[in-house]
Amino acid sequence: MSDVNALVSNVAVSSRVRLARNINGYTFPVKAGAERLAEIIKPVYNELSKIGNFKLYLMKDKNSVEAHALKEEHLISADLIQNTTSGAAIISDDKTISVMVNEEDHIREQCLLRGFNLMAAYNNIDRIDDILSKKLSFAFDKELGYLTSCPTNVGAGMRASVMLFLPAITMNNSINAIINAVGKMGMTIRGVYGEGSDAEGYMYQVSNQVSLGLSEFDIIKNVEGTVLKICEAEQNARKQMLENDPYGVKDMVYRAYGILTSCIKINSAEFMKLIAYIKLGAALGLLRINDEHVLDELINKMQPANITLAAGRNLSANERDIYRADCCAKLLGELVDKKSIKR
Amino acid sequence: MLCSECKVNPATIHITNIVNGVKKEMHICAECAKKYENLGGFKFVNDDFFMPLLSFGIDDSVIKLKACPTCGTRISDFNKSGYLGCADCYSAFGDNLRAVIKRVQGSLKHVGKIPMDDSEMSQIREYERLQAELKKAVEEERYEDAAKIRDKLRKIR
Repeated sequence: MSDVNALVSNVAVSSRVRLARNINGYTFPVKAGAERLAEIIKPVYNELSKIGNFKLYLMKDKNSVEAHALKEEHLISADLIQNTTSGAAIISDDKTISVMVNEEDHIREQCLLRGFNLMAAYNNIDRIDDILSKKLSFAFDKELGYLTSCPTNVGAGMRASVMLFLPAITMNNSINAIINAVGKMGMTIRGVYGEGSDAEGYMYQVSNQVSLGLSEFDIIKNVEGTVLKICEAEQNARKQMLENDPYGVKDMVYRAYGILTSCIKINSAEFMKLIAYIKLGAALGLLRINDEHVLDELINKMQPANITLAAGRNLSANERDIYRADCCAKLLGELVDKKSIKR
Repeated sequence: MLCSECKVNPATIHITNIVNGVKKEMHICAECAKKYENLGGFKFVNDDFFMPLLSFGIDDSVIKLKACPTCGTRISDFNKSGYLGCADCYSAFGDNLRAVIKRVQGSLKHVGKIPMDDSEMSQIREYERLQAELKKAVEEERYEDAAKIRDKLRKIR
């Protein structure tokens, strides 16, 4: 297990399992009327409220900034935001469980946990699924499994994904070969904040493509295996990078720290690039961060909708850049142990 | 051979497409190919000609039943959007849809979780399935997983 921990450390950011479910007697969201679909929200919310503290977010009541802020935190999807008539999200207070109602399917249950933790994420969401399935009659066929709006999800209706921080294999250009190889294994890898090798912040998401003919445990095992292979490639590339050009890497990391702690304004793209260098620097032992998780949260907090929400009013792009620089300088000043920076 | 579109230039691009065993061939010139590309997509015979390459592509000419009796979704709707209208579409579009599923998922047999409604039958089936999963996890020395599966089995019992 310690080998696994060493491999995924500073690479696997978060793990997510999502289950797609539909309810018998209702046409799928793409076809059904808003009034009929809205009937689904209440029973789901009622059941979840019995087991914990959940908050209900109706897309019709949310202004787009609040909805987009939830999306930036990976709690809801862009498609759900589009459904301003019957779309809803029911999210646990600790934000680990999010149930979307009337997205592509009637119900999308997800559990999102920090680090490399797919099995725990599955167990949590499996429990939620059991609770909902006792109350709602899920569309299920004994041959094809859970019936979904898109046949690519039919079967287990499950996507298991891990968010990975892959700066070294992106910079040495081996990411495209890895994307191809992963595709052949029935998995998919895509940029979290952009596509392919342009993935902003070097953040990628690896997930299963196939959901039929495999049990939930098999799907998790396959994704875990793929993730470990990618982590190994990333760790090797990081070592190589430091060996090949130690001064170049150090310069890149400390320069990023310098800019982020002293700039007066910074746009999202530059912020994402430089914060990734800080993360990489911490992974390579070039600087010490007091709490890695706070750094990951900072990335979410610095996205446009979250900034607008925190500021409490609509900001111009220029004002947003000033706000971002200010927050970032303060937080990084606290997060990075200055004594760990050695020229 | 002359281009089947403009009937002026020689055909230099030959496309063969097989959908559910039905072969369609196209012979066109580079100019016509470019023209269609510029229009935002190839449109040689009909709207759905290239669909089999692009998305799910069930050839609706070979299907007698064209609309789902429950929700009215047509095969052509599914070909365009990739979405089915309701759970009954799966039986309405029968073997043709199964062929698509087989192609994109590589299987037609669900082996995963069964919904936990309160019926005794569903609980027995889920219990048996989890027992098999437990055995597999132990064989593969995934003891943490095995412990979690065992917890779940206890709950059902």
